[in-house]
Amino acid sequence: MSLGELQQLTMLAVARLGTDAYGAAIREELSRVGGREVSVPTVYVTLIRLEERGFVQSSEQAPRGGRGGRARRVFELTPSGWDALHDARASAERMWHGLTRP
Amino acid sequence: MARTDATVRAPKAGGRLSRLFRGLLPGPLGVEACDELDRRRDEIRIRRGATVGWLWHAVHLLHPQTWVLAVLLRRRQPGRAPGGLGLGVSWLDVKLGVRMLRRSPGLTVVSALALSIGIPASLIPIHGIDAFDVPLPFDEGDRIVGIRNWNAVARRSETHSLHDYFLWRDGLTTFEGVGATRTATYNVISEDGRAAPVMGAEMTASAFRTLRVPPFMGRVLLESDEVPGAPDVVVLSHELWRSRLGGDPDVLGKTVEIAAEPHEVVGVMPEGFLFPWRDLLWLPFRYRPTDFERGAGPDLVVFGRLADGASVQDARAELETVGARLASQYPETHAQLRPQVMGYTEMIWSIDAGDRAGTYLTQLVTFALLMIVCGNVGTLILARTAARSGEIAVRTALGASRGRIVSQLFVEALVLAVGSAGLGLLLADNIAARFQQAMPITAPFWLDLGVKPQTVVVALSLAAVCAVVAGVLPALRATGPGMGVSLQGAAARSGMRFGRVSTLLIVIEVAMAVGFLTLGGTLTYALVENGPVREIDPDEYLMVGLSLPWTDRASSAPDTDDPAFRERVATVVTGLSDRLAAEPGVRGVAMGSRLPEMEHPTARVEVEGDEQGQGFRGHRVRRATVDIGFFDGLGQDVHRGRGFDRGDLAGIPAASRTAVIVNTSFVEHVLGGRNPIGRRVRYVAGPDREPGPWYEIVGVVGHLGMFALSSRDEGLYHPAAPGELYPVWMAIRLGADPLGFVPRLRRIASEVDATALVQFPHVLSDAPNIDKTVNLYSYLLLVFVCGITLLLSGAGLYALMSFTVSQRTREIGIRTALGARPERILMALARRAFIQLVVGIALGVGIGLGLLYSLREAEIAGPSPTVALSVCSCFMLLVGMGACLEPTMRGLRIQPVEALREG
Repeated sequence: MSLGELQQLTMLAVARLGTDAYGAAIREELSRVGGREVSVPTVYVTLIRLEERGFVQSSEQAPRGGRGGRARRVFELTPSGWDALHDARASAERMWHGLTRP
Repeated sequence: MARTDATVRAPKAGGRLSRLFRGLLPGPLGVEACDELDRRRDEIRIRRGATVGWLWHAVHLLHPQTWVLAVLLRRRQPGRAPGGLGLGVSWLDVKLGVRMLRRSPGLTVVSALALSIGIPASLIPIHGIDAFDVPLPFDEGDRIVGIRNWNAVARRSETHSLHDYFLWRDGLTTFEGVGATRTATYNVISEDGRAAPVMGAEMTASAFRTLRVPPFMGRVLLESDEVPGAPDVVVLSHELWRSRLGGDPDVLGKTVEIAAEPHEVVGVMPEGFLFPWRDLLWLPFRYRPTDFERGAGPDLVVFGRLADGASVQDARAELETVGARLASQYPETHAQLRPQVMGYTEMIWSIDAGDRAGTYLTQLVTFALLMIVCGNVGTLILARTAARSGEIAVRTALGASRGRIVSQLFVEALVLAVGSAGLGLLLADNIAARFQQAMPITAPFWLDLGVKPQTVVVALSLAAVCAVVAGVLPALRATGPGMGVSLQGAAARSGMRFGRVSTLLIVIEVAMAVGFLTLGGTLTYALVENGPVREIDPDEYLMVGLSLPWTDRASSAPDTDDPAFRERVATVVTGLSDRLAAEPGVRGVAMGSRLPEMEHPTARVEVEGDEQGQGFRGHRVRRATVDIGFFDGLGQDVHRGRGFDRGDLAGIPAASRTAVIVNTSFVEHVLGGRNPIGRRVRYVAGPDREPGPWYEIVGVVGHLGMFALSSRDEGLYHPAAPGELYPVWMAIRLGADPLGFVPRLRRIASEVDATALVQFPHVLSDAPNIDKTVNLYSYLLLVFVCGITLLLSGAGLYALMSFTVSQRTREIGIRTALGARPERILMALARRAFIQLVVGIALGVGIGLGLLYSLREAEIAGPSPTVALSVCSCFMLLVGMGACLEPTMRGLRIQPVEALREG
């Protein structure tokens, strides 16, 4: 199954953030690095859908200082998530191969 | 789990929206999303102010992704019931909902009745537009569009577009094909000698190609048929082929006489093809631009099929260019014309932007009315919810969240609303089918007023909205903070109150019930006591309309002032009249511009010599122009004076004739019973206009049914010579089974003139009459409105009293224990309901007076306003008190010991 653009960007954000990949941070990463402004519910919808497809998995991180000391759900890529990302990149590169802007 | 559910559910300070979000998005991830939303909102508040922050938050509450997230999060919730319906709702809730409805049959019946009528009724405006404005049911029918010239100054469509049609057909590139058609009614005489009028059309060969409907048999019309001098041919509809030619498989090549000319049948179209309206035969289109001036010629309907890849916008742009060119080339005929492209059915119905805007406005009003009905059902549900406070308290104690209880109550209301909507749609489909059959005009072949899938979808969505208004809002009130629902004395101690909106609704309904009862009662009285009085038996008469196809096929209507046309009509009418007089079984023939039982036009008259005060606008009367043998034909004696004779017509132009005959109602109400013979009357058009000439009353006849609603049918008759009346309405006195004479009449008429059209045969008592139809539908509507408002106001009062009794059980017990007299308790319980009833009745009297005042102009006789309003007010008082009785008696039966134990 192919990945949508937002799904790809979200997975890349998860990968970049490592152990700090929770909802708010992912949204900020998408905005700061990816240049994509997405709404708060959209980020969580995308994450839940990716988790349902087995591309990411989440675990509860114990409360830390800041943000009211609440626990938060941290996401990480699964092996199949990495595979899907690589496949998506390879497809895109194959499509781009030999193309130059006129 | 690191946290308890209680922590998850705990609302965070931050306002109502925050609480709503937290109720909507469950689980740890939901809390995290809510925190993030709060954080972002706070940032915006700091940067742009509190209002922008609140708006940002509100927009996110309505954001579709928020609701998607809510569903996804609920799916992840542990312990979610398998087979659930989302948002914490399960099939068990539906079953429970059905059970609860069965436990309260009264509430269920009243609510279901209100919603099953309210939901379909509220969809009528939008459904109407959907039904009338649809693509034609042909291959890619949505690409068939209408083309017309719009006169921008006169603001009407110019249909004499023969020259333009040929230009459009040959010149437009955004169309694959352009066709034209002109409809008419033809007298068709089949081989067995039967004659009957048939709707048909002259249609271009290009039209058949444009519609892409192949013939069922033979061929369609071709360009070669359009050449002047080509053999007369006809293509028949499947329906006409079956009904008039018995489905003859060898029909091709046979002849049918159409408008007195034999035509060879060359094809039969497939079943259901009745283009352009409900036409049954098609003749070649033989009009040539060379035969007519530009802007003259036949009335045409022009349409085309958009070429592949061309859009309506492309076609409009091209036509605008063509239109501009024609306007500069032919300024005298085209300067004000704007060619337009629009949906075919839109053009046929002349639906414009104003109609659409009006429809959508009406739609909004009907939705608002539906919401009032829902509010009412909500009032009933609220009263029942109050009685279920104990159950709610138990469920809360067992761990049910507020959301869970609200969703349960929502599902109950949803079951009610969806069931009612389904019932209502079935009813609406049935009524639509009957209405379509009874429509006074021939409906186009594509019109289907029945319920469509999209209507069902909208109705179900509306049912969901109704469930929110009638279920969720009362549920939120019944379970809201501060309710203090407890296991002990749940209702008695709760802070629940019957709200101001509910109170207002009851007052409005009582007022409307009184107002409409007054109007309905007055009309019913007028119908029963004061219905039409006539001195003929209309069941004995056959009525028909007689018309002649005009020889100038280019005009849309005959020139009735043309002496040649008048002579032709006079010949046919006299010939037919003579033949009928000799026919066995025919006891009389009357001809006129109107017949008894038909709707008669009204006018205002004044009597010579009568002094009238300022502002007198004349007596309202009805009038008809009749053949001099009219009263003899109806078997009517002239009561006083004389009937019309040849001397009233001989050599006198119609405008100079002075003799008129009035009826007894005229003598009684206009002349006050004075001797009418020799008295003069004239028409008055208005204060600024000159009155007409004087007419002398020469005779008096009885009531012949000039007004269907009342015996007050003051009217006068003018004489006319044969040929002056057109179209002619004939009443033929036959006795039993008048309709059985129709085939014979058609045969006689075709023998007199093969083109004569004998149309609209009815028994006279069934004469089409707008007065009667409007009366019938108004009466039904009033019965409906009175019934619903009475039901709702009664139900609202019942709910209020039930609610009051359930809230004050303990108080009643204590009062009874302390020795309070029953009438004092009764007063305490019923005071509020009584006040609402009295205020509502007072308002209703005002509405009733207004409605009765509006009836003055219609001159419908009825009881005096005081009597009507008193009777209706007393009736409403009785209904209202009746609705209060049962709950009040329940309250009085409360035993002190039980009440105190509950407390």
